Amino acid sequence: MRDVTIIGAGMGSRWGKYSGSLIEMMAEASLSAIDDAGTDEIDAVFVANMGAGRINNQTALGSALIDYLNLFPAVGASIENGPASGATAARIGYMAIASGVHDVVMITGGEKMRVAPGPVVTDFVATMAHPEAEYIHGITFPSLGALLARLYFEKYGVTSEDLARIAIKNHQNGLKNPHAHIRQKITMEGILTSREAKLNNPMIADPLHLYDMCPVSDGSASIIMCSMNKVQEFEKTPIIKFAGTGQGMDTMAVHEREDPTFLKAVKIASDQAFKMAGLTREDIDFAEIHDAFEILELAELESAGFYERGKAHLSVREGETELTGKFPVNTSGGLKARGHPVGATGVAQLCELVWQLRGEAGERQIPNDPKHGYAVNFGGFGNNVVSTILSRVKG
Amino acid sequence: MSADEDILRPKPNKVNPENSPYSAKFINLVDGSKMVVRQITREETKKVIPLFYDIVKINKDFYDLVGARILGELLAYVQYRVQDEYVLLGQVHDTGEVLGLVNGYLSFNDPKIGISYHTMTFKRGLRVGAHLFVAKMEHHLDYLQNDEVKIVAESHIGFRRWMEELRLEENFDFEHPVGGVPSYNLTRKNWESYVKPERCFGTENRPIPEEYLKTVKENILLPEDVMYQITGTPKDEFLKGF
Repeated sequence: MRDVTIIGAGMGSRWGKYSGSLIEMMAEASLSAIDDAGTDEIDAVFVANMGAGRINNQTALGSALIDYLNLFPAVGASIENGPASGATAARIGYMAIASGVHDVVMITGGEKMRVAPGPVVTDFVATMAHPEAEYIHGITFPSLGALLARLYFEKYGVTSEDLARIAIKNHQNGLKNPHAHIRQKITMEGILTSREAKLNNPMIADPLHLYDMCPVSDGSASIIMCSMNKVQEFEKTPIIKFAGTGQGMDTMAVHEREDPTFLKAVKIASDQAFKMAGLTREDIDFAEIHDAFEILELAELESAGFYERGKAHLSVREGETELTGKFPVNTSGGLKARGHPVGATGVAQLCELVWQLRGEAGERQIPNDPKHGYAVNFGGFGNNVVSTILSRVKG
Repeated sequence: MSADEDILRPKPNKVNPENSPYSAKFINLVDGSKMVVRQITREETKKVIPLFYDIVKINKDFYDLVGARILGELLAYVQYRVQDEYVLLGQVHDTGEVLGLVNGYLSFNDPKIGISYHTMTFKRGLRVGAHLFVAKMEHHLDYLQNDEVKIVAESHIGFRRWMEELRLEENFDFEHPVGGVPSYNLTRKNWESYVKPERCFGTENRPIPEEYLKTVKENILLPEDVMYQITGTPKDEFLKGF
């Protein structure tokens, strides 16, 4: 197997609401990554997207993007794995290069969700739930997030204040990210402790408030992957190695899990990624965590092995996961502030890892020369998870 | 006043925004800032009017349509061509930045009926519109002694915020002056049982500190990034198209 690197990373214009077409939006990110990589000689394009066929009435996005950008003779395909589509596409890109089938692969994730009304989007996302055991009974993802939060509250003493702390941190990071959908300072008083907080931050699914959840976003992100033995051609330093990837599965129906507060698929995916990278949790300098709901930031950090079970919130209270903390989490603003166009999220997480490892993250750059970054991209409600580790190996 | 003007200028109702003005309050917003909500005078309204000259160019989320209508309503207010109109502004307490505006008037035929004109937010994501709209209802129900307020919305956002979230009642027999469309009602019963206790905030923040009032009176300006906030495009770039 050949080693694989990432030589280009780019995101489209600021996430949020995009006025052009889905393909235009994905082309913006792709061109940005191509510019960054310094090459458009791409062998294959894998497009990560969850719902264009349903929401945008468009399919065959791999073909469409290659055609739009005139990347022929590149070949391509669309990859759909729910909100984990992005990291799944990158994992397939890794396999394509590591196996020697392709040398240079572009992964572009994009989702244009804001053309649909809120209830339609909520229903669209809910189609990932178990069709007979969950969906037909009206379960939505906010309600699953709420059930998980309630269990966490009762089992580990996590509080609404803890979730608000995470949201405040991620919004603070998002303020420093020019691509972020939500660039809005929030305060504990404004969203939780003042009387007005009841209207500012209404309850959506008890115990989750509006600011405990990510927004619905349009957005795109792209990376260019290349075999290590070809990377010298591009004189791209520092070299960012695709050091580890793992994928884990769990039951679709959350109630069938032995302990719903432990995300088994996150553990499996993370263990695989760490084994492949030859690293330990202590080696990781920062992480991008799939915080579709702020409770997931805690649960994923614990299930991935960065914190003991039921203890991550204590580190949040100590400020350990802030930008200047011992272990910065979601330096991009995470799904909470950067936004969550589902197919693009996993790719954007890898963009953030690349920029941090290169020292190109601007105002949100973490100190101390980071060498290893971790990302977890969470599909379904934790039934299909992809973890990735990127490492700076030269420069 | 000329004889014509004497006819053209509406005679105030017994209870009206001049003799029963809204008492200023402040509301804590999500970003930690305080929004002063207050009724402005005709002289101050003259300073607000130019703020709309660029807003009416924004063809997004009905800003052009609503902006143009508000512009007309403000011009009518300063020139005495609306029955008992009032304008409430939401401003940041220490900068004077205008975060939003609401306005309305009283019925000539039935002073117990309030007519809601418009709600516009200049800084999004802070729930400014939700707070200001309820402040407007507070003005009608608690200060102007209306028993019900007639309401319509141009935008989908407005419809969700007012008709759905505030549980307004259909009053489709009433043709609303804004657009001549069927109206919705906020009744006193709904106000006292739900909207006031659950949705009306900042009432304990009265009177507001003198320094807040001084600042907001001296500085009536739009947030610098208003165009970007609404359109996603910086102001200079946006206005190049005009």
